[in-house]
Amino acid sequence: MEWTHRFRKWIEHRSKQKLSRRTFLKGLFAGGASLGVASSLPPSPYISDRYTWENFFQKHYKEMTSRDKEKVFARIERETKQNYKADVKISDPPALPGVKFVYCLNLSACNGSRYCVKACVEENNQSRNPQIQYIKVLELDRGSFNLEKSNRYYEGESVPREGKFYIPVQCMQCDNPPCVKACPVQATWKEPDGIVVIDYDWCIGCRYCQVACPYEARNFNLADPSLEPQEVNPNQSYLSNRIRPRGVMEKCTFCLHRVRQGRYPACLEACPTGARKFGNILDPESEVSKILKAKKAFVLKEELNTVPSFFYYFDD
Amino acid sequence: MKFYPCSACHLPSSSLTARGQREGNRHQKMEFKHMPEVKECFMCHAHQNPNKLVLLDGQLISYEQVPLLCGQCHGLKKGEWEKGLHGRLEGNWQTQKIKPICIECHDAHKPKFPPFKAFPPPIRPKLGTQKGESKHGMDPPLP
Ligand code: SF4
Ligand code: SF4
Repeated sequence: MEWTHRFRKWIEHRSKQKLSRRTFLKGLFAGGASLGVASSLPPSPYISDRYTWENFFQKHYKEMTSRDKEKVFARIERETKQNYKADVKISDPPALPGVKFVYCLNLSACNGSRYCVKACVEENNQSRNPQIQYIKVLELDRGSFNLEKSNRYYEGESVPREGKFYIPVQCMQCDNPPCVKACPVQATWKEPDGIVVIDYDWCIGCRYCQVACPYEARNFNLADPSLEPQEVNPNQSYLSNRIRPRGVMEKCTFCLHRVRQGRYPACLEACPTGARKFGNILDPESEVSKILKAKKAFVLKEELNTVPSFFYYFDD
Repeated sequence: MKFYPCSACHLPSSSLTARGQREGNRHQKMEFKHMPEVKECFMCHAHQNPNKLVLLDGQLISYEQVPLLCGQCHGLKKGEWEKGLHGRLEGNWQTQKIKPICIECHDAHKPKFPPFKAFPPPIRPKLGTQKGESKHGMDPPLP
């Protein structure tokens, strides 16, 4: 009958296909083994294509020697060139001694124009599609302070809108960070200068930290980040703004690669109203120290005891 | 000021009158929305010297010293600005802090910040709860 014939043909076809794939793989492994060069192995189809041999056996950032780091940075530079057609430089500025970074934000001045959001996306090589943004600007009615009722999708032809005020929210670099405690593999930790960082190559993408963070500060790369070559910021650092692989967590790092070299974070430089203040809280002469002394500064969700390093205040 | 100094038109020592503002020349288009009761240019601009400003006590100052002038009324803000509590921070947090002066951000004739056009909002997620959108504590209907 017609259908038995078709069925037999289909079975034959399937078995041939399987056979050929298996022999292909066998040949491949034999070739790889005989060459004896681990790094020349093509990615195994059984591990996700995001892993290469080198990447898979890479050490945790804290255990890397400077030689390891050199190799890793070279690999990342090479892969970025390959995947994003951009020449980048990976650096690794160390934490400065005697420095603890603090951010202050003047809510009376913020006008909700999202200049900071744009600058952040460009500085930190965030994926344009699917879209990832570290800073969320919440719009609230004047006189209210219920974050649950805020609107983050407001359209702003002319901001500030009548009767509204704006709260930009990003990672608070908590001193008692629930995200760090939640991570089962210690891929995220707090640096001596107060910045909470992620080793993107150590992260297993379990998203525990995203759930633990009460500020929605963490963003997950569900797909490979997409950036045009001209959109890539070539000044990158391992722990902050290098282009993240798929399947890892990312978040604001106070522009670690900039602030450890004395520069201001990109969001502060972009802010047209001067609402954003940044500095070293251990220096009594810094602006942030003076703000915390002179103003009634507060933090978000204080009751959760996360001890944020990000303060808000209003002008009197 | 650097690119378009007053002395480009006015002779450095010429005495100015408020006539120009009233009778139509370049300055007539200028909007003045600072103090509703003041119509007098020479409350702040020097009569005899177009490159200078004048304080209430008659002392002449240059444009770079404008915080002295603004501080006559906005003393508290000036104090905050001096401490770094008000105004933009520029330069370098560690070594070289640059504090822009009043007129670098504010238009002295119209000091209130104009409304801005905001950059576009984030893309709404297609699935799951659209957080941060509910206006009255109720979740919006899913599409
Ligand atoms: S804001 Fe969230 S991500 Fe940032 S340190 Fe605190 S808990 Fe962690
Ligand atoms: S997603 Fe990554 S950083 Fe977050 S808890 Fe899991 S392993 Fe740790």
